[in-house]
Amino acid sequence: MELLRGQSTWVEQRVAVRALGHLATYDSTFPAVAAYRDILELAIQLAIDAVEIVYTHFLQFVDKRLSYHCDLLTRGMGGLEMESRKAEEWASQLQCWSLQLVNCFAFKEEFLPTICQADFLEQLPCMWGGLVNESSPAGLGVLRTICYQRLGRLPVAESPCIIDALCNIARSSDDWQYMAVDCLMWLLQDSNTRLKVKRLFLSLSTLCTALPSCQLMN
Amino acid sequence: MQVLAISGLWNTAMAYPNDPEFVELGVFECMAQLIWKGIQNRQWLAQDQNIYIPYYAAHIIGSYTMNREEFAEEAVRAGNISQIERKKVSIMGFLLVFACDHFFFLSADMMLLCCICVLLKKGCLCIQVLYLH
Repeated sequence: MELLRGQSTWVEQRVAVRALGHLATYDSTFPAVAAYRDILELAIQLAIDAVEIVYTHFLQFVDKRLSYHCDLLTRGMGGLEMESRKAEEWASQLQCWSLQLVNCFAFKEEFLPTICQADFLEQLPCMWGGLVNESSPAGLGVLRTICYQRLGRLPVAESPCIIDALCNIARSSDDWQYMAVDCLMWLLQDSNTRLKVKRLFLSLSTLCTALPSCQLMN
Repeated sequence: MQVLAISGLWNTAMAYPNDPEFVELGVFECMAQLIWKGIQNRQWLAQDQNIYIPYYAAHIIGSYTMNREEFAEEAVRAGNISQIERKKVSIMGFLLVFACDHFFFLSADMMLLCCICVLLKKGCLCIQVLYLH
């Protein structure tokens, strides 16, 4: 927790959030992680700031890079270009792993109000693992967990820009396309959110003809 | 020396995250204490190559908790223990078996010794290296 709180540098934050994310995954150890009141806020903030942190504390000034950071990044083998490339990869991991930790909290109703702050929600569709972290559903994964729950669907439906983003991803060839489709389906199936996202019907029904596995409205 | 031991352990944790051996030997307590030490004792952190230690320690905890729930439970237990009675070491017995008195009293950092001993047992660290340092 102290490393996550930034007692050291972003490099240590990255591995701390990874470890805490693993601990939060299991039902038996989640309560011990959630006992730290500030952990969720910290993970949210870290997901938002990850790229900025790595840029300002590492990438920006080539001559101010900490040598142990360079060694850890390149494992002692590689030049400036390799360092920068790995730093970009680690920035994305810092973000993805923070989101993975947030995702564990998003399954529990009591934490949804903290997660569903408009400014964070609206950034979720833009947070993606990129080519280096393609195995992580990143921001869209969190959004899907939120949309899975009644309490989470309401704030999502309130935001036209999230709905637009979900429609775009659902129509794209993104690996996580199906997650956006899931979100939209749940929003349409819920009578509390259906009317708010009604204007999506057209784009979604077009999509459904393209995806045979997708069944609109049960 | 310390970095050598911990990076060896890091390699092992990455390669065999489901192997219970180090978990049973108290790897979580050991790593938690090293992280604490790095936070509380900046002078120690700045010495030699100790700056690498908190990073490796947190990474090792993350690797062993990646796949097995019982390891994660163990990690949580160890975290709680290390906060309440940080000085007590459950693997002391193990340490005493492997560390000779000479070495034991020379180094104040018992936790690092534990690492070294464990690595020695695993054959990750050759005895000459230990002797030289």
